Amino acid sequence: MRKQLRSDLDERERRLRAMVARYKAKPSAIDSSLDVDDITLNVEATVEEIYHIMTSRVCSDDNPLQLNANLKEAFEAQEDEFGEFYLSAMTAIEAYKEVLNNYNLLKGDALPRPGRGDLPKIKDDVHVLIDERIACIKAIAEFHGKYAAMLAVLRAH
Amino acid sequence: MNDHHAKVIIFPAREGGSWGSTPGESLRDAVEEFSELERCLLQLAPQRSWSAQRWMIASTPFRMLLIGASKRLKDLRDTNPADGQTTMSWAFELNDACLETERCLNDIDVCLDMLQRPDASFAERAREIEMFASSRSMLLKALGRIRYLTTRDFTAELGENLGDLHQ
Repeated sequence: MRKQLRSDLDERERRLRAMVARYKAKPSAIDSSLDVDDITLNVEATVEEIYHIMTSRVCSDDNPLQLNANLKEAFEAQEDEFGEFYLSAMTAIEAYKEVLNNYNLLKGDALPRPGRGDLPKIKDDVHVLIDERIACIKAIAEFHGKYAAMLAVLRAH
Repeated sequence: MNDHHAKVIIFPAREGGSWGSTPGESLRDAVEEFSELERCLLQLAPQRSWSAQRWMIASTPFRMLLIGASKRLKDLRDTNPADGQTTMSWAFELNDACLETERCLNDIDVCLDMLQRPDASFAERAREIEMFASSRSMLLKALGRIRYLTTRDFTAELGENLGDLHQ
């Protein structure tokens, strides 16, 4: 059980790290990761999964990782901060999904062709989308950073 | 200093404490724990542009190890010479080094608290980074002193593992 849990934690860390690296290289790559059914490719599901494992399995009373008293205390002391990073990532994902959905509706085929003078408005819309996307990737990267830092301590013991 | 050679420290028995089962294991565990703390501290390469979140992430391993290290320090300070088998001066030296380490850890903790505040101004942040660097340097010295004191005289008694850590 202990070995399986460690393996689960490592696998999620590698998965999220790869996702973040891909989004940093090409930010628009996140768009397709938000509505995909495959849980291993869906960034929102991966973040949720990590939070669930950390709160319900690592920091649980039965101590499945057999952490010594100091390490257990250290993990418990980080729970609130980890929760804040999680909340921040999930909020940013939710906001970006909403903006992306509406942006896609705006670009729908049913709309008439843009006319003269419409470009500044289009530019504004694109910038809103890009800003939200960057904020979303940043929040996910920070959540990953926090998770990886906690895992590094676990790996050393 | 050389008069401490080949002396034996009798460690107080602890129930449920963090000492290992033998003095050798206990000292080795303490030295290992401090070494890991040092490693985390050395890996921190702060920059003025770091946000509060960046500080939270970068200092996570250090802050997590702080809990165990503080307890180890307290245990070390409670290590009193017994049966006249060691010198008082060694115990005083160790106690001083532990107190200095605790003071530095506290200073770093205060700096980190400030640096993790999102509302800290750029000037406050810059000042705290300088304080952090200074406290870190003093902490590394104090930890080195503890390592020296706990390994120097007892390497022979405690086996090669402890000797390796001294390097």
